Amino acid sequence: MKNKQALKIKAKRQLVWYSFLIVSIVTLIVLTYIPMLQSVRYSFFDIQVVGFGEEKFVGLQNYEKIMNNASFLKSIGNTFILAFLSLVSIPVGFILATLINNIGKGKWQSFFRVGYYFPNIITGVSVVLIFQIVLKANGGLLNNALSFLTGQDVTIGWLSDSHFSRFGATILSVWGNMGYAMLINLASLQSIPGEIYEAAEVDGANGLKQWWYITIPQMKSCFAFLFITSMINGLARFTDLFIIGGNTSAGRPGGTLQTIMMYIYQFSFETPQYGIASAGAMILFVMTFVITLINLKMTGFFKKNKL
Amino acid sequence: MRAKKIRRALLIVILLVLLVIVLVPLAWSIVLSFDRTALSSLPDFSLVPHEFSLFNYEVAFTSIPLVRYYLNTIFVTVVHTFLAVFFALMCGYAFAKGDFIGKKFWFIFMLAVMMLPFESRMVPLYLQYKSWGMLDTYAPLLIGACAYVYGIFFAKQNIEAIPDSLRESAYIDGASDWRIFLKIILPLSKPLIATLSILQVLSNWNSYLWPLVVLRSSEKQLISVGVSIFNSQQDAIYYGPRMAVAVISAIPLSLMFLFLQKYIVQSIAVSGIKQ
Amino acid sequence: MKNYKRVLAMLMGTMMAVSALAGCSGTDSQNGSSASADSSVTESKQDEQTTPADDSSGGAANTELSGTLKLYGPGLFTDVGPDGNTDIVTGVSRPGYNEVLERWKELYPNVDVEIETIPWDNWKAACQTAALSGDVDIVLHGSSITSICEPLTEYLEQDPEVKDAVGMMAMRKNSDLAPLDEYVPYGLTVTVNPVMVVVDKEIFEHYGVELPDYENWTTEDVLALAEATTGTDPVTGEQTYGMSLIEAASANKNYIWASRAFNNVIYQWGDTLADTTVNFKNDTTKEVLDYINAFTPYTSPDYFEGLDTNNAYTEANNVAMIIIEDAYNAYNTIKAAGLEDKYMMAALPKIQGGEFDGITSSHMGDWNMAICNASQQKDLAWEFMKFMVTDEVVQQWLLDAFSIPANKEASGKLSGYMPSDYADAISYVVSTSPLEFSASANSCYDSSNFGTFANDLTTVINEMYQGNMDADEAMDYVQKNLDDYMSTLS
Repeated sequence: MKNKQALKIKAKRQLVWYSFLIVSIVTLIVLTYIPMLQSVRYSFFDIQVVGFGEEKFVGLQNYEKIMNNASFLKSIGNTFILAFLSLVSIPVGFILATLINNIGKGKWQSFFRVGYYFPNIITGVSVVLIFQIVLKANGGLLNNALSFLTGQDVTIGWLSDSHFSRFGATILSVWGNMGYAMLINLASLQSIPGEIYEAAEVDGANGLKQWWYITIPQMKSCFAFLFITSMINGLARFTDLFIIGGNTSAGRPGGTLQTIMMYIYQFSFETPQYGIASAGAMILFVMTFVITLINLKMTGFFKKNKL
Repeated sequence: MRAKKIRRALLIVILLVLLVIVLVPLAWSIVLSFDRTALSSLPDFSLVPHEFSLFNYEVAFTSIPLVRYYLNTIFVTVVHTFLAVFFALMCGYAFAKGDFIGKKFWFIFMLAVMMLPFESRMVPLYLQYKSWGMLDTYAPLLIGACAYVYGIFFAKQNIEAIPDSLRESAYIDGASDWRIFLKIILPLSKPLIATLSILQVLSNWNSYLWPLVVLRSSEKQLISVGVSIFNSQQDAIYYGPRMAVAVISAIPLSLMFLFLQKYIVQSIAVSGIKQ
Repeated sequence: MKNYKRVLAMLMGTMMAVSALAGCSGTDSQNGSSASADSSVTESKQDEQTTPADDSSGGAANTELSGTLKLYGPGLFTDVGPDGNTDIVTGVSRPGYNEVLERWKELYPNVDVEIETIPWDNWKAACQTAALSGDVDIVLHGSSITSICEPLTEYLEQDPEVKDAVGMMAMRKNSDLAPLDEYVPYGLTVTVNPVMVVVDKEIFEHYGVELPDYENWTTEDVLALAEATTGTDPVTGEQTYGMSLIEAASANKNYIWASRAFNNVIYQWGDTLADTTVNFKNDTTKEVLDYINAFTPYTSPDYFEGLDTNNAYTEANNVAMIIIEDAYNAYNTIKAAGLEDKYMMAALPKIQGGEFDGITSSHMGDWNMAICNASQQKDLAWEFMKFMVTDEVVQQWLLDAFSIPANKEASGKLSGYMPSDYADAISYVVSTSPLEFSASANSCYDSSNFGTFANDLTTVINEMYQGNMDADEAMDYVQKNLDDYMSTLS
């Protein structure tokens, strides 16, 4: 009798917790998992435009084709190169955060916090438009500045020469993301307990040593977090590169900026081969999933949270 | 002491110089939006308009129903953000403090699709909304908000940092979990709410393809699509008016950030990042 | 305490509002689509409407047809909007599409037409998705997405006068319907955009170079003129450039005309696409690519970012020849600047050899309409498309909207709209361009059946321009992707 009562209470508790989750779970199933299963299905079919024309089951052929396709492999390479390059925003953000932290709390600090975060807010087509001019080969602002500094005539096509385009695209992303990296770094810096530094000072450690032996280790998980989020964002990078390429998914210039997402888009809509696009999407999904798992492992999710 | 002061002043100067460099492209866009000469050819770089005028803004307001698009976008963004943040907090609370069967499973279940590219499920999703008769309504733009995965993750990390003692004493007073959530967790989560809200607004404000596809009536369209229509109505790239439109559409975001920025820093500081 | 009640109340309120909204508009759209989806309703409506009309029969109005046509897509309708628009720089106004709809209503009082305009950004994705809704009858500019469009062959057989009336149609290839060396019409072209060369007569004069005879010049002549007009202008002392090719972002379009001028046939059509062989890698291709690249020294360094023509059509123009795709806009800009005497237009060089020997290599872009194959009222859609290319009022509207009608009679009136320095060259291209020809699917260049061919061409031409590839590497790159693609066809 008592057992039953206890069971009932337990069951009720379960229901209460599930009542918090149910809406999100249902939404995810209906709006993400079911469409995803559709995509999985399409990836086994020879299909051009969904809903039109014949669908022919081809098994793993789409995967075979895509894995043998030089452009797809190149787009995976591009995606990772761009994602790694965009990690520059982390050290940049850290340096900024350190400088801003050192001026102490006050009006100046919040001024810089806002100022440096601003580029993160303003995104979209217009920014790319401006950067196309800032980074243009002939008389662009950056080249002008470089010419002035080096005393030589610099004409690098940051967004138009395939040798430099990845750097140009990185300038764009670092500009947009360093504010976020700075903010997170700053928050982490400020949450390092002051006593550690005091103790170190007593032991006679100088500023540089403190920085190396205390600050950096304390920031480890912050860096890990930024690393993972930047990587995941990098894997899904699409819009700005699409605009740089003149509103095509070819990854202009020279295909160097074609990411996996752009490849998928190209085969979804521009040269419709939905089966191939879906296979690409599945491969991208698996890659992001693995990275997310690594993320959870690195942040100690599996150990600490006794879920 | 003096050395310290000088050092601080020096730091401020360095940071200011860097900030100016960082903000130059932005400042230039704003300048261009006020420049009457910024049309199909771009005027030389300068930090003041070559010929100051509000012409570009007039053009922007008269050529497309900007106000209408604006209101639509604000409506969609506000509702979307509200739903997203609320449900993210609910789930975050359950994952942070709850004790139920399948917790780990559901958490992975949610995170697994965190970055599933939207474009690749757009077509199936569209067909679903079609079968529900929801095309050309705002529903397809809003319902998805009920599962904001990144927000759930973030909320879980934040809510975990709230001490259990508060909850326990409420339990003893006989409060239910819902009551605790609404009366204790929510009020303590202001920074979290602020952060998630701004992240949501940022990612929604510029969304283009999905609204373009699901909204059929032009009077329901959002600003991102409106901007694109504006651009295609001109015979060439007219920089000034384009920048004007961009500036107008960025104003609400900037204001929102200015008001909320101090909460954002707080919530990032307590989230799991620094563990 | 109270605060949270308020929050809760707000939440509830919003939720209700949202659900109400979703509900309401849900029924809305159902109402909207019922006209096309629920045929019994349409029929009963039709009965009601035709009865009174029969009593008052007379006039040209067709009251038998009824329904609601839905048009979806980018292009001219988006550009002008329902009520017209005024370009902010040139100051020229164009009438809105409501004028077209009014005219249609006069002729077909019982057929409503709803136009949903979208911008060019991501238009293919938007059109494909919209077609899935089953609620689109005509896809504007849809012929490029053949899988969602209805071939027009039968309709054209029914109404042979349509084919006679227009100078161009949106042709594609489909081995199921016709041999691959022939064309299948997929869209009815409403307006055409011939690729033209804008020639700055002043620069030519300054260098003492004779103006081109565009009906007879060759590819070599163009190159020689570009060279002759590059340098320091002897009169003004300014740096000038001989040529501005079609913008680098669409460099493949330069390949379209150049490959045609060299008559570089690369396809050997088989019974199906899979049996077709593509010999992209050949000596003529090399010649074509090298030819395009030979213009590099005569183009402005700003060409690549698309900024070299910023000053075109102003007094400060420094490019002698500019290849453009939007002839009418260019003319309007010139006219607004009061520089009609400074410029002229020319056709691209003539084709050397092959089927089209001797005519200009200028191809025409178009804005077309296609019947969505998910439409329930294809005949009605055809009726509207026919109206767009044959009705006189519409042709006038097209001209007023600064477009070049595909309708031959209407495009003949162009000389009333611009001086002969411009109109003659445009008319020359429009009138010589063969009806049975498609710039996007022909025997030198086919962007619609061979995967990423167009994008790959853009890539290699840009790479050659930057000096990162030579013609051989470029050909290998494109041929490799073509082979990859062909291997997927089976």
